[in-house]
Amino acid sequence: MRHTLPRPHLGPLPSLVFALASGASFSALATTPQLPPVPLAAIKSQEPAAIAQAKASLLQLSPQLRLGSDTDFLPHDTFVNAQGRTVVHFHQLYQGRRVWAGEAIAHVEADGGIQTVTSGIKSGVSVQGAPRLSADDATKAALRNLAPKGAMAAAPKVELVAFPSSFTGGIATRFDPNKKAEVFDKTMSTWAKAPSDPYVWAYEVRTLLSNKQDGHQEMSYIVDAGTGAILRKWNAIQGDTPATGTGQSYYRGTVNLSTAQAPGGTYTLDALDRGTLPNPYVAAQGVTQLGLTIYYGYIDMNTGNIGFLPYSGHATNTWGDGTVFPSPWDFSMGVPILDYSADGSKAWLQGALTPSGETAAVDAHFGLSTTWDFYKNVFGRNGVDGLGTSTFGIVHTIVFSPFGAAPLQDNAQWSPWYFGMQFGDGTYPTLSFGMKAVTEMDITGHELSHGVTEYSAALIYAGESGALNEGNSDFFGKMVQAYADGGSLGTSVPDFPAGDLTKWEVGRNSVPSGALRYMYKPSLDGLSADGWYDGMEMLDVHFSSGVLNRCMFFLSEGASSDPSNLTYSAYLPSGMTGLGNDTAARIWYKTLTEHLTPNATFDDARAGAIQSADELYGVGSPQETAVMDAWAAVNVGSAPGQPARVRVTFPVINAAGSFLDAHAVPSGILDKVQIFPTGATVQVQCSVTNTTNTGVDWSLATPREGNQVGNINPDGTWTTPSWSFYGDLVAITATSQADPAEFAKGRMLLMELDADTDNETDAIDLGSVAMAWGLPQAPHPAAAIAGNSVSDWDLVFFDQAFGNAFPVK
Amino acid sequence: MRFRTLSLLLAGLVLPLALACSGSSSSSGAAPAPAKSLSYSDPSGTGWRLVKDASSTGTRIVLDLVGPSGTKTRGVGFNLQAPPKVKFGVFANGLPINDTGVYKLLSAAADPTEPVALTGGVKTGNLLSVGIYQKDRVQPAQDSGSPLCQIAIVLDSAQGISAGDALQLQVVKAKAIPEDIGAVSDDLWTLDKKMRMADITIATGSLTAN
Repeated sequence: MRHTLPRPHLGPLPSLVFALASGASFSALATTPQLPPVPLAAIKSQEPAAIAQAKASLLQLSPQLRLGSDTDFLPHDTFVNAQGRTVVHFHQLYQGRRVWAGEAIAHVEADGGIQTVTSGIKSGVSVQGAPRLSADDATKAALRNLAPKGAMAAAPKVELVAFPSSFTGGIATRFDPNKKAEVFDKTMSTWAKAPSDPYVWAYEVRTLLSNKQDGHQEMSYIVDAGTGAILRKWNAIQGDTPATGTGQSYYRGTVNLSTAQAPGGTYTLDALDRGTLPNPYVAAQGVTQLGLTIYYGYIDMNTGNIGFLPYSGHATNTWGDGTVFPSPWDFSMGVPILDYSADGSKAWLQGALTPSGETAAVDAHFGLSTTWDFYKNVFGRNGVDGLGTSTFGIVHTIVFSPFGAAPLQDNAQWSPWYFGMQFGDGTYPTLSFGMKAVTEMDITGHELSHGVTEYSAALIYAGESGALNEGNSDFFGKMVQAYADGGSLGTSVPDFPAGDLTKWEVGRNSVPSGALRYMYKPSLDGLSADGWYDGMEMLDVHFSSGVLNRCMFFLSEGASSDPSNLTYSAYLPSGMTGLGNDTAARIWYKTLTEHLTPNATFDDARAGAIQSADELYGVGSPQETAVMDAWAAVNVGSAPGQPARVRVTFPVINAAGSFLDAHAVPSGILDKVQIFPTGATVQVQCSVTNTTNTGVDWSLATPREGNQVGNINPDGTWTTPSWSFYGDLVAITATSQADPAEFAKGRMLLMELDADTDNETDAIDLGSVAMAWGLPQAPHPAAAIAGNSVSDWDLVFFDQAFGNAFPVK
Repeated sequence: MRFRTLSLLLAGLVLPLALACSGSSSSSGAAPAPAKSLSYSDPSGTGWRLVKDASSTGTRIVLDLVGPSGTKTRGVGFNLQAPPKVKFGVFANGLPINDTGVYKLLSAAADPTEPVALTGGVKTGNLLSVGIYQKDRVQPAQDSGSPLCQIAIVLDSAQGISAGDALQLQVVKAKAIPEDIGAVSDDLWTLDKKMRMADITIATGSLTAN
């Protein structure tokens, strides 16, 4: 959500690792510490010898297992466990080919002794003859059965194996969540008769489909190498089945949760019915995540990296207890309190796996699932990207900062790299003014909607497009909330109770006092804009979003004609009637997905919304008029019948392509900044159009408390203060005398130009700047106008300030 | 310094007024004719000086800044005091100073879009202040004996210039970046001592309205 907090800087995120634990430890916490690094490393160095020792031991067993000399064992997975034993997994081989399901596991002690051998070795393996079919023949047989609708994601993998006939498949069943019973699964059943020989040559054919038509499938087949019959088929994606659990949320009370049930009977917070294509980030780690999944953050104690683990292995399908998660924070040490995995290799926030800790997961899961359903049922959109790609949410995130790791984050984010989201625990009650878990319904809706924006209009996260991006997420977050309030049913968005403005407050229940944002009157937060004005790009996008927020509120709920009402707009004094949530949402969704481009402005958004209303409801329709009214009410365009608006604007000083435009971050941030020297009489530029009265009232403010900036004369002349420092910004507002509702806000930069410190500002000073150019530490500090070192910035600033103060008339 | 500048400014204002009065009293009583052109006579000497450029016209005098031949510099700036009736012209770059190409304004690894150290403006009291400088220490200092930059003076009838008006020009401050400005490898103390612009004196010729 990246809410109201300003962004002092954006740095690179710490490198992140991913891990999925099969059945994360819910009970064993910090009981068996990991071996110290030195012994562990010593044991690991002996791995090749341990493997050889284990293999020799297995071969010694061959006679007892009625295995001939054509038997061998192939190690394929080896590791040293927490007890210091080397664990070696072996494939059983017959004539160099894998015996299907023939497997052995050896545990080798540090001294070389074999502790245990867990044997799945097939005895008496003998295959008659040679394969009659080729690998290509077998692949064709498998693909005939698969019958893909879309393209294969990869060429099938084929392996000749010695297949135990006893594993020939048959009738398959599946769990039907609607009937709550096992039912016959025609698709997964195989009808071939088991071969008469106990072992036959067969091909294992593994396929991968991952496309819009087929979804994500990893079907595997055993094709008889003699007859071409399909002896067995299975979905290689480990078969969790959909289930319905119950959660005690903090924000929504008792809720139903779509979960997954593993073959062993345990449950995972994974909505299998929301996401048919694997999450790309998780897939890059070699793990397939299908469905909307909730993870919790952890720290890898060996690497110090952050990862995330699923809420899985849950014995029951009930989650959370509806309480506020107490921040696990050690005040005396200033560090988070952690729980540890059994082997001590992972740590997570203390209590993250307790019912209280699960509560944030319940809210996130319910909120994101509802958001998924909202987009699917109301707009027919299949998830974030419309393709059904699985997404996820991480709760109990751990944030690294220069001060260390901390769980205290009053924030949430959509992460494009993850194709997923993170939700902070909030700083409350550690900080009484902090937020509770940042998982309220409108916030989860907000974050997933950022993903929708990324895969539709892709609005650039800066300037007016950034404001549209944020406002869009606020609005759809509210629409998700309305959908949930209405029971998450049907294909339309219910209205909020009439007159209940609290429903339009973002994060209303997350913030103990007040809310993050007030869509009906954004300026109530003291920073956000109620309407468009020139210079809005200087606002953080979470505050300039107020324009779209209020516009969409007006479009849904209407605007009052009573000036004392919070929903009154001076830009539309007569007020307007709203269209209701459903219509407003449809117009805006169409605008977002069909008419906006990445650097869209408010004017573009207005034009796109009018176009959408025309397409949905007709040109000249009441809906089109309402759209015009709503935008007019936030000072974007005029309402039907209104004259063109008075416009107060500051000139563009550094246009696109100029040095300061190209080098400023974000681009454009300095395009209207007027630069003047200190202690000079200058002419401030401003233009007023659409009126004969071009007079403005000026007001100045400076971030430097106590410094006097003087006054700008009515004709725009201004004697700048004689400050003696190298630069500062002065906020300036020019308000139209013809229409006091119209104004422009800008910034002026004041520069001390006397680089040679002779108490005179002249062009000779630029010589001192030039002499110091490129020096990291200028001998004359006054030569560094824009910073400590002297660079091209100083040249441009000098030139503009000097030229503005001393023009050639 | 501000006081000195002010006193020079007042001197510059008083002189042309006195000359105008003198011209008026010595005439036969007819109103002076408006000036139709300007003329400029170069100063004598081989030091720093402002000389008329061949591109000048009757209504636009372009002055080249030329330094002593053999003296190497890295840039120069000066303040030229002119009577109120004198109007300074701008060049195609929008500035009252024009680069003649002697100084290497871009860095050695030139980026065509990089800014250069070239500026100018007219301060209160009709004081032209211009400067042109090499910013890259890697670039060698240049011989000052050829035109290093240009300024322009234009005839503006709106200024009320009369034929015969003598318009005194005076460079009240001028400095150049010397050849030796120290090396980056020098300690800061040494660098600080060497990184000083050198005072220079720029001679001006006679500007007359005709």
